[in-house]
Amino acid sequence: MGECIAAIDESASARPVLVAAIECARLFGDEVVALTVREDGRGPITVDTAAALGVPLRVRRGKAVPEIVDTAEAAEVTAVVVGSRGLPSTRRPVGSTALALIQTLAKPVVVVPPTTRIEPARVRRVLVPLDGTGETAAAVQEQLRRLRPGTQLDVVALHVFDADDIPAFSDQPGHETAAWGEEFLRRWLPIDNVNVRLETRVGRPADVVGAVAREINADAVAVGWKQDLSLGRAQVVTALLAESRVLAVLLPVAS
Amino acid sequence: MSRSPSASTEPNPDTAALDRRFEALMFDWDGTAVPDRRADAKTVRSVIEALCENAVHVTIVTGTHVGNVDDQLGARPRGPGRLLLAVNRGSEVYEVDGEGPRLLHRREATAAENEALDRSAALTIERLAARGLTTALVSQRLNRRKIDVIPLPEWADPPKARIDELLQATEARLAAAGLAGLPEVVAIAHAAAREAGIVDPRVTSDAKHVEIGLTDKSDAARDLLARLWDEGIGPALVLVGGDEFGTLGGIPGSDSLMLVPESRGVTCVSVGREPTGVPDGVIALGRGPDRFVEILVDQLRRRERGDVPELDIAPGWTLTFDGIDHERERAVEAVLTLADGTIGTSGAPLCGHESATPGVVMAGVYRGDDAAADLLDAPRWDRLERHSGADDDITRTLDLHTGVLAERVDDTTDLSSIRFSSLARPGTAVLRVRTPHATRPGTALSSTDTEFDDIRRDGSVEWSMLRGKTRAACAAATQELRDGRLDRFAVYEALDGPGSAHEGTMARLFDARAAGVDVLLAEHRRAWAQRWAEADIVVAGDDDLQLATRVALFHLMASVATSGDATVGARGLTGHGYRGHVFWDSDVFVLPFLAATHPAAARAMLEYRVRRLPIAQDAARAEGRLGARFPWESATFGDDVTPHSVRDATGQVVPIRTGTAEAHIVADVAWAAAHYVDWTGDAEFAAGGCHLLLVETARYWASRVRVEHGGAHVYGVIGPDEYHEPVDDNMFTNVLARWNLRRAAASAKQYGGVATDEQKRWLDLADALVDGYDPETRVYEQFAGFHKLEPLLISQVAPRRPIVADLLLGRDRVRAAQVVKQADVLMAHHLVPDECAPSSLEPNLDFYEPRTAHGSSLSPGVHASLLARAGRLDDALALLRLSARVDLDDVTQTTAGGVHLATMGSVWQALAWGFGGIRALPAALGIDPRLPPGLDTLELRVQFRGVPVRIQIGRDATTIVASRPVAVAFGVDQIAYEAGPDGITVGTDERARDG
Repeated sequence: MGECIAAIDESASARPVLVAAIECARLFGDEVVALTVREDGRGPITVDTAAALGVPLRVRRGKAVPEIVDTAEAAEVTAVVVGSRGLPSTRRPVGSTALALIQTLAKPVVVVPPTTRIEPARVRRVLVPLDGTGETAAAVQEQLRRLRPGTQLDVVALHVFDADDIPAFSDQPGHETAAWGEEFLRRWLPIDNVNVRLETRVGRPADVVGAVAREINADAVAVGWKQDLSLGRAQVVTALLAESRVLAVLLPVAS
Repeated sequence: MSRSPSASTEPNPDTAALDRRFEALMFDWDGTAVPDRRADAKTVRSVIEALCENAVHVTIVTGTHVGNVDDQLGARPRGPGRLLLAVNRGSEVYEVDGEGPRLLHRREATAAENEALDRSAALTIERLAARGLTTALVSQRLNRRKIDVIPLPEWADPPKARIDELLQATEARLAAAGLAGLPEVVAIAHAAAREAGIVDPRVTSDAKHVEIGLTDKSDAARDLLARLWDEGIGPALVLVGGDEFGTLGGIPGSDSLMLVPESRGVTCVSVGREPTGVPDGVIALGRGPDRFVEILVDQLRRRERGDVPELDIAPGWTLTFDGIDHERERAVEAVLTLADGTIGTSGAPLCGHESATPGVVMAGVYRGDDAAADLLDAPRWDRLERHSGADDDITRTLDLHTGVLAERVDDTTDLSSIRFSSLARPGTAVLRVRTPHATRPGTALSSTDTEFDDIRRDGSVEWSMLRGKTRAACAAATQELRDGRLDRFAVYEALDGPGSAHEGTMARLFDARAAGVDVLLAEHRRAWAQRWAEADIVVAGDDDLQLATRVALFHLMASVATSGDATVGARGLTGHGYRGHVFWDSDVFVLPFLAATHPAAARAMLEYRVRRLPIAQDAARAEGRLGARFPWESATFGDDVTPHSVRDATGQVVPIRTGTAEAHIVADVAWAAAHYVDWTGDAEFAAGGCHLLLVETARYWASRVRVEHGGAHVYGVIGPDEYHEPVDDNMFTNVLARWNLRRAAASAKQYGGVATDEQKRWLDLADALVDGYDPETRVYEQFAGFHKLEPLLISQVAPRRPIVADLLLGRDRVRAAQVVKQADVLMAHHLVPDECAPSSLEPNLDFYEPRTAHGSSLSPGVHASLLARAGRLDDALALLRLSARVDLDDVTQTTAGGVHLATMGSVWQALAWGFGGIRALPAALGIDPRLPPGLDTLELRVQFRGVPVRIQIGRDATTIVASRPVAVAFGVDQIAYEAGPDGITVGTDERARDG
């Protein structure tokens, strides 16, 4: 049994993060532990919130990001759940702590937007964008295979064709789409412990992922990525974090 | 293999090369298999007979005549391995069976050649005498003259064992005459022969004689290797044995003549003394005939033990895949599928793998109805228990020439195997495995998620049955395990009648088991070799294209039954893609290859349509029309099984109208029937099934066409370009309909059964059908209103082509623009060029090529063919290469569902129709070659009206050889020639050189 860390602070995001962490732990059969990092010793919100949800709280002193990273490096830690920002109205879509964690941690990070509709907390449907590369697909596969046996989860894989990868041929669309989709899933998401179906769209992936998440009422979007937010890279993740009202499950590609 | 003599004179016992089984043996007789011509050959006789009984082909190459060899050997093998004697130094070949020797081939010298041989001998004797050397003519055998250079009593008949002494004595005698050894004697004889008028004299010496002939052992070797090739046995499967490979007195040893260029890859041993060493590549064993007989006995033991046969790894014929790459694995399995027209078996690893999708499908056996009809998963015969510790160190090799798949696993599994799906006994599959872990092979049949019954056991046989609505399908298998060797046999049959019993299938299984792996393999290899002899294409100058072409032809041949009715889906028997449904792919892309190379298969494909004519007539009636309305997409029964809608790649649900509107399929079926008749001259089918199909399809068009506004129109159809639907007066549909009406009228005139006024109406309608042709521009308008669409050139806006343009630009944009999915107007030029206006090909290529997205894999090959006809050879070759690699490179990322059989057919069309310019004309075979600069030569084989024809296209000339006289119309002007067994060569300036 692994440990899912809910990284909380004294902001209003504490409860949504804890609730999301409890649900993530349930899906994978993990335990959930809350972690707060204090520089000055005070923390009534975190204490009360964790206690109210029955989640044990660990307190560390120091700077938030290094302490969270240090804690998360323990072998039993399977994921870190963190709020994207303290308040819904904060101008920046992702706070500095979340931003630092997603680029640093070599483990899954679940970013919880403050507006997520997570109570009652159940993740029933997750959207999985796949770009058709082995590395990002492997990161997703690894997590999906870890789901607790018997977990009811609707996995919707999504591939967005952009101008670079529009197929060369589609002889008879009535068959080609199914044939292409079947092989795409076998190639990139060959798992049999949950139901998987494929959606395809055409456009810019960064524009389309959010729209499809809304269209299918996804509770979470899980994406493999290389943790590089430099200019022009990770556009899907950037868009997801900027706009999403759902959990963003960021799965780093193994290096 | 180099022929230069080795410096070493020591034996080279590199016998690792002999630690394997060979499929054929070719060896010298005297000195190799027997010590001399008087020795008792009882032992070697019994071994040779046993080898033949175990399906080994034994060929003997000797300078003497057949009587000498057969009297001594006396073998009377019963087969199935053949015993061939190439005697008289390359001039004759005999086959020996239970009745004795039977002449297969004799090179007969003409009277002039015999005179020349006599003069050669006389001149040689004279010139040697002038040098002081007395010699004697000792024999005038078939095609040669033998001169004794040391006619001394003490050297009357020296045994092989005294060869050193003989050589010394001969050299001494020659030196005494001032001659520089045997080489000079040979040179004198050679010059004499040339002077006497022999163009290519073969002069050899055995230290005692010099022989001047028209043939030698190299001719024998070539003949035998060619015959073995026709058995499916390439050089790498042949063991060559002799005793005189090294030089003798400065002359190449007589057995070295067997090492012709065609023998590259053979394993070669010498059991002779070889005093001057052996050429590179020859294994020197020494010890004479005793050692050679040990080799023969070892080969027999390997057969009896059940060693796994090797494959002939020949360039241009072999596909090898090392390891398992998850991303590519399923596409690899499709390309490695073994099929025989009845069943198709995926090339998945025997021991399984998480990336694999193993499976067996049966032609024409579906589950489900309507659009949901899909090929049934039959029980598997190719599954082995996975050995723990296996780490997938696997190599799979497919020999296209023989349709045999070898699989080796080199980890702790230590498995070697071959398997095949017998082309000689379609529906029969065979597996041989050697592995230390064969103690747990698993069951002979393995169930998959299928509607077959549970597998039952009946003694040593496992069987399972599917009872469908109108037919039953049965699978039965058995296996034998002994000493680490597993032999497994399986038989599949689709039986007419739902109540059919399994006993017949069992009987065929018992026959197969009784025959055994070696016999079944020999039959199967021979069957494939014969198909390749009918259909091979040799592409010189582009090895990739050569291999890709053969992959295409392989799957075309494997996918189609040669009897009954052949249901040929879009992916053949290589996967579940397109649910095994039948489209125009089969009629206009697959059938033409078979009509031109193996008519029985084409006929079986037409039988599929003929038997479903009643359903097509019902469909026409349901439309309120007459005749036959063949379905766009069909499966078991011949009703339309086109899906009605699909969620496309954009996520939208869109209607599919091809089933209701893509009516050109009606004319495509008729075209296929007529095309078959044009190629084969099958008069019975012409008067029967073809006539019926032509008449009923013509009736459909006659009832479909509307005469108004000064012409005849076909409204509301979809042409090959499916980006625009529905349209009116699609050029391809109308031109094919016109052709259909005219051809049906001609058939009716010949065979009757249609009233004269109906025939006349067809012809009037044909004349009235609008086709959108503008005589000023010579461009056809693809459909009414096409020229008013946005003149968007996809060639300029797309990042690359081929491309699915409606995804790139959106369906609505494409529909409103002149963006064409695939050859449409040009498809009419491809199928019925005589129905198109003269000189209209180039203007339409100029107009439509830049507007074509090639969003269908059928399109590039068609364009390649037409670009070749138009002389745009570089562009044609580029599209041909693209087309040929669609599955090898998994361009569509859907090869996992099966290979694109119609695309493969288009590859053949591009080569044969495009570059070869080969057509079946009414009174001749049309040939109008265009060799692209990127190729050195192109050789094609076809069967025209029952006559096998080979066409070799070179840069400056084309040679046409036909096994019987056939009329040829050559070049764009169709100059008349007659080609026969001697062949004709026509220069690019179209004047015959030979006739």
